[in-house]
Amino acid sequence: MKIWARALYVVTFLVMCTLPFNPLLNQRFVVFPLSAICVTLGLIALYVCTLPDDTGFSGKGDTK
Amino acid sequence: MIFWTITILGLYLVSILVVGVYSGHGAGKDTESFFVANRRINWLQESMAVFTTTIPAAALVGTIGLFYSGGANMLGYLISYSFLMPLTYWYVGSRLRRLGRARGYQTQAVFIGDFYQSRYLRWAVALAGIAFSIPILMTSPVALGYLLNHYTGIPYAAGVLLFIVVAAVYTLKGGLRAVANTDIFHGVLLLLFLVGVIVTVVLYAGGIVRVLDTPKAVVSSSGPGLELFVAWIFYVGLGTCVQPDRAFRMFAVRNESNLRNGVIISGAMVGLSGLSFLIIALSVHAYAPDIKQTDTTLATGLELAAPWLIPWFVMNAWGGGMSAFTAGLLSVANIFIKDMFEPWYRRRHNLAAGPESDRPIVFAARIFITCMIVITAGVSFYPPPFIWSLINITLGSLLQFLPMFALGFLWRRVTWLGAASGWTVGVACMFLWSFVFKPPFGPLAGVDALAVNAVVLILVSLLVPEDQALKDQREVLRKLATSDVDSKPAFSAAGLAN
Repeated sequence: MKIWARALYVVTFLVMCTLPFNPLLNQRFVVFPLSAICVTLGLIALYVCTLPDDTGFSGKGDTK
Repeated sequence: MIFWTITILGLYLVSILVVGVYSGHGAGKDTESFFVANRRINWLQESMAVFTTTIPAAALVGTIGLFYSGGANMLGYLISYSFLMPLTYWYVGSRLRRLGRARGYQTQAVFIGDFYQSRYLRWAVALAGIAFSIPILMTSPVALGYLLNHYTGIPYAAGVLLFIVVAAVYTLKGGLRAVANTDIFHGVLLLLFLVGVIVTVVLYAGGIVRVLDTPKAVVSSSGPGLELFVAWIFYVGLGTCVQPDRAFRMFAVRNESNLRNGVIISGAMVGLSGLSFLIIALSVHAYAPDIKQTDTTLATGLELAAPWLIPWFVMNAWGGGMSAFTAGLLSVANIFIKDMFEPWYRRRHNLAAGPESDRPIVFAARIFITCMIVITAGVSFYPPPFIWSLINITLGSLLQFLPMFALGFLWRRVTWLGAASGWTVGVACMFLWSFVFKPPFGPLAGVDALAVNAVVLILVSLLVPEDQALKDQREVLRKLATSDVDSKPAFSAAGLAN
């Protein structure tokens, strides 16, 4: 779970950072809602990443 | 409108005084309770504190103005505060919190001094923390005195005095606990205000479709717009975890879970503010495209769309300013007392740590805060013309602390000489690119200086060997910073004395 959360955090961060070079997303009616979605997902992902390993969200727990 | 502005602001100030004075009862018995609220700050107090000090009066005025002129190019601000701020604040903050609990640290300077075994870095962090915090401290009463004068006709000096006296009363009475509880009050009102403003200005502008139907709703792919976007990503959010007025609260958070929730919620609230600033700025641009002085964007937008919101604007600007001002007062006093006065006082009187010897130290803290308030009042009555430029320099200079904290925890090969060289070169570059030359990349000297700082730290750490004993000492602190300290008794000054 934590690996997915880390990946989601990195992906949302990169989507936001590369926005100027992405003509598909860098459009009038897309930038604002996309930013809201990325920020929300990024913060949820960071929350999961910071949870301790004994909460069931760790990579170890997923394999059991 | 004058009547409502005075009435709402008056009620607000009375409420703040009641909350602050009541919740600060008994906070002055020792420095632990005065400066770090007995390390019992919860997630709500932590998140609201970061939120309100990050979105002070200057943000409602200046930052919305930047969004008005820059449009979506200012989304770097949002990325910085919603991605990098929570990440770095958690990474550095959770470690500092544990070390503070285990070793009794209340300021970053003492930690850095121990971590790198360097008196130079300890004094550099302490003195720079005070010197660079003071301009932020001074700007709130100046700006809010002018704002009150503009909207009510109340003389500027009276507005400044009112601001300073109210802030001083509850800060002196209750220390961090009073400031943290009033921050909740400020934060809730600010969130409600932002939601109210968005709905009002978007409707006045003709709806969200019309608001977003502008080239300003798109990020520039080249030129100054792109530079602005990139520079803001690394500018504000990275500095939050090392800015003394926000960072000293890391030491005060109750436990891991409260810090985690506080960090994520503060990221969400500042992110919401960033998105609000964009929508408000684009909306105002839709119905008032020719505002020359962009600092007046929100005020002009409200005067046209909803004059009834002006009293709430004034009140929230005062709230944000008060939060930043009281946090600054406490953090500067914390640094001065814990890093300079207390060691000297204990040595001079040959006193061991303990609650009995803490009382005169808290008294000294209150005297120091009173002196700061008197100096602030003096500067506010005769504000120097360069006071606003100092803010940028302050933020950029504080950002230079980041590598020694983040890389210190992250990278085992870091050395004290690397940290000292990086910080010194970073601050020197910051001043050089602020006063002598233009920054080489982008508009913000602090970001360029940060890159040089990090490179110098890494190179010097790699090239100059360090004594193994110093590395071992650092490793001990790294391990302590990631260990479970909450299940053990917290550091106790009284216990140490016994």
